[in-house]
Amino acid sequence: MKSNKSKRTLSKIGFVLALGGLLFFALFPLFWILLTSFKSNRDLFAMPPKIFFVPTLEHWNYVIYNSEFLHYYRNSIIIAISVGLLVMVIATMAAYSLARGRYKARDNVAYFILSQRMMPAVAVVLPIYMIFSNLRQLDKLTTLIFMNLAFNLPLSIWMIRGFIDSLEIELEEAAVVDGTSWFGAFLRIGVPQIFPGLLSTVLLVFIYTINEFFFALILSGTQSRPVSVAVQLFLPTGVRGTLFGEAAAASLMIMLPCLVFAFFMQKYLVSGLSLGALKG
Amino acid sequence: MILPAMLVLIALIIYPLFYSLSKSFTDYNLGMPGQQFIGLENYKNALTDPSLRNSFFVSLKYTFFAVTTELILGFGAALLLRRRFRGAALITVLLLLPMMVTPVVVGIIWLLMFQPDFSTINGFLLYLGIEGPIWLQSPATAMFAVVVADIWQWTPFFMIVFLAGLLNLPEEVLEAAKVDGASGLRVLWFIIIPLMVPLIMVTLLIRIIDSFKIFDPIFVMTNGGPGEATQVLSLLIYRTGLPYMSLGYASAMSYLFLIFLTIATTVLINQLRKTR
Repeated sequence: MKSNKSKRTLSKIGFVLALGGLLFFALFPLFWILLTSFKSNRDLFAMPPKIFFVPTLEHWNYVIYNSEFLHYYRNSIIIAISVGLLVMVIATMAAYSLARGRYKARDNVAYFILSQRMMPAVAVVLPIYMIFSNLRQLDKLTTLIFMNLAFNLPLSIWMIRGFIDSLEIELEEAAVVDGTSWFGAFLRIGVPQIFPGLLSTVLLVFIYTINEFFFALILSGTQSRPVSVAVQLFLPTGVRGTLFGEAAAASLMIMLPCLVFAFFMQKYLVSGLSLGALKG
Repeated sequence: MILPAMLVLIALIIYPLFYSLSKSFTDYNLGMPGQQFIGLENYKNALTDPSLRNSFFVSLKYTFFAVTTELILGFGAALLLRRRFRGAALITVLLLLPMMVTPVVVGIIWLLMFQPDFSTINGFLLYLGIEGPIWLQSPATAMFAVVVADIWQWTPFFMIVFLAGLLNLPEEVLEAAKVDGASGLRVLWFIIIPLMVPLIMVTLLIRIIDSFKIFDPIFVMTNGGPGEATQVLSLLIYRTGLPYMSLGYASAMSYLFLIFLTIATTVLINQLRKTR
């Protein structure tokens, strides 16, 4: 009896230790970059590292007031919001067609679209670079909007299609009998029901677009540069040394909207992430 | 209805792919005027190029170590979270956070941990009296560093998918096994894991394909170095194409990469069609 009890305590300790270890691994790096952004350069380079120090806002000030960072931040927000809105409209239309359409190639079209999610960005970006430089469209916000749109459409279409499949079609049929068109009935009756799902899809697209780096690295310049490219420009060692404090502050500014979103929208996001994973 | 989406995909993905296919048969170079048709020359060169072979094995090693660890850790984490203890929801979200972090920032965070002058990790090792290596300067430890960054970001992906899968397992079967007196480990090995195999396969394939395409954090942390020790495929192709300007040759390499990934994707989609 006694050994059974101590066995259970032991397994409880193991459980807490394992969970604690995972939490530490997940959160310590985030905590550390937060500390780094408030450390003076002296404390930053201190060895062994300091956990207690006099905080300073110099890096945050530099990022916000003395660099072009806010301009790049604005670029990112413009790109991400445009991509989110475009995806919402275009992907919903495509998903509606794939969920409700009555054509033969439907399944093949769906899997063709899904297969585009696996496309390596590097295979597309080289020809895109050549084509867009011939068209003189490099370093334009619209170029980045289009590329992010193309790479976010496949997963979005599949996610939204799943939501539409879960709708009860009878409600819409009733409206059609009353003289509305099929698509009109979908917009008035179906869309409000799947709105939470649509929102989580757009949210994911927003986060992916803010996070996107590869296209931005190659297709943007000083005009259209988004934050993901701007942040790593603090790293190469320059006249003022490697600006780790600034890079840390800038990193946090990028992460902030995504983490806040993720935290408050966790219910939708978790279903969106796991669903998105299962479906492609 | 589907037309706008198809137009976007065709104009921005399919057409560029045909464009680069045609360039892959030329010696197109940004630094030199004109271009000539050279047939399969680029492909022949690529197949015997030691850099390409090296990058293929670097990507393979990276994917193998990262994805295996993520699979095991993610499955373990999902098993822990399956017990609906108090605070489980909050802890799940906290564990998910790394997945939301911008990949470039993941690079910055782990550069901070591993970088030469004041590596955070070595700093904490000093407290234990251990002098850590200069992580990013020798091939093995540099590889270790970039793999750790990948594990940090993507373990939550396995965790959340497996957690959803575990919570959907038929409760009766598990209860029946317990009534029959099977131990926890035996239930896990003979019942839970076999039931989860389709889900594990799909998740694994997605992660294998994605980690073969990895670019951002490695670009920030090591930029492929030391030497070519962490120069994954995307990095090699990008570098050949733009900074080194051999677009024809890079197009040929990217086509070989594409063919390889297409095979993997076909396997994945067949798997998906089976499970749906």
